Amino acid sequence: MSTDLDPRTRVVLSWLREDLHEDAERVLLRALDEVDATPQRRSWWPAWRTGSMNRNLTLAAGAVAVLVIAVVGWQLLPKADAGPSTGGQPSAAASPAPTPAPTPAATPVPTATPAASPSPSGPLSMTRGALEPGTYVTRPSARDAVQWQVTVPDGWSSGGSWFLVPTSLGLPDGPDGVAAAFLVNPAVFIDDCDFAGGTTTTSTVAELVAAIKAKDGWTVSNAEDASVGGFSGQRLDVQLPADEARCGVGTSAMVFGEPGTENGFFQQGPSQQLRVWILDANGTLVGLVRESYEGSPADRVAEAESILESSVITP
Amino acid sequence: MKAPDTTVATVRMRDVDTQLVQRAQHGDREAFGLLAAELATRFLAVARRILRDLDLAEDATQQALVATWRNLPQLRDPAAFDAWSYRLLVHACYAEGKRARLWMPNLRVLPADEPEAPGEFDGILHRDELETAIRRLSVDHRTVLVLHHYADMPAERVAQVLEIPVGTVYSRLHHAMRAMRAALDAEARPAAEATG
Repeated sequence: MSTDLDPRTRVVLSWLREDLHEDAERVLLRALDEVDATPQRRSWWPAWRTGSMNRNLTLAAGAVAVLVIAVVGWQLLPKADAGPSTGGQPSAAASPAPTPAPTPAATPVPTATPAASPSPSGPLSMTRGALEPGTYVTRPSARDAVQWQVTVPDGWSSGGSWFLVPTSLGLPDGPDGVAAAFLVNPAVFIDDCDFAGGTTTTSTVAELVAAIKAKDGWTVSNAEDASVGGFSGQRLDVQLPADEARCGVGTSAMVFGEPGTENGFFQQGPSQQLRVWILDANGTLVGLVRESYEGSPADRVAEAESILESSVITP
Repeated sequence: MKAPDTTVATVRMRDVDTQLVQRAQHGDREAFGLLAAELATRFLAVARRILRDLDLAEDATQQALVATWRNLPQLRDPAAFDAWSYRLLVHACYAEGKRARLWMPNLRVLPADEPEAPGEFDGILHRDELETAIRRLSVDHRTVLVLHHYADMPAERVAQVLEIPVGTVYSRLHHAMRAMRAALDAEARPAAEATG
């Protein structure tokens, strides 16, 4: 601080900086007691973000995670001499129950080959990790039995049961990420910046389209009639606000979420664009989302769209 | 009494260990405990100077620490933790202030022209006047004053924490300091008149 201040200013500053001998121990203990009984707000979120982890570290962590899963899975597989295999394609009934919420550290984009066994006659069960080109089936929602079957080209990974990303780009962050995602009963946040503020309640394609178009700051195209996988609905393009920090430093705006699950989108970079198909699958609202940014490679964006258009939806 | 430099140092913006932040983001309560221990001291000091009341400051600090824990998964960039967590503290101070009906609604009317600077002042002698003056400031002005002059945040950082333009920070600082100096002038004037 300068020493040639007005003497009155010096007095004010000196007074402001007086040591008041606060003892923070009591309040710290009270706060930590409360923290022990307080869950973090993470119940919805795709644990896509890895903070400042660099991509190599992320991929390495993913590879290790998948390797562990593969080894454990191998140990659990029935041995060849344990009896004849029933064979056949994976079915919804054989799908594992929803797993507990993953933590961000456990959810990088893996690079290893999935442990799922290929089936000669039907789609493969989509397992998190790099995917061989082919047709995969998954149950994206932990709360709904809707199945999503897609045809995946070379160079794509599953980031979970509900979204796919180009392996070379990793997590779908700006400025160049790409994702193809599937949401069951998607909803928009009433306030992008207030996680606790809740989501809109919509049960029809028209209501959800209206809720999206009503969002402040979102640039939304006119909705066009569209049909995917035998179900009809509407398609629209959404340009999120350029200011990804509009919710404050270090705070992500929230875009779509599937209530009661971890599936949903943050705004993950500037100039984030979403192409959204909202379909009525026999009364269940389904959202297909192609996510990209200005810097996203056009061929990968086109592949994401092809993946989504290959969707076969089984409500 | 002039504050020892070490006091100011304890509340300065420091680089928080981002690994601790990341661990806490992932639900590691032990990591958060370490983080909270560091935050609690500076949060309490800043809150007390904004709220002018230790009990309210403790409540605001507790609220802010719990809010920090609860909202950590939403923090996009762990490197922004400092500004983000201070914003939670400021929000908690506003909430506590409202609850206590402590705040004066607006900055009070200030003298149009400041008088000539008086001679040297002794901080101890003027404590009451300064306390009265700062309580008359709005919470907005008080917060800017404390973050800039006590927590040693540059104006740009204060703007980041409060999400206001830097120009607004400078404006509030100017008005707040002017009000504080005016309080000293008001106190000094009768004494000068008596001796003159």
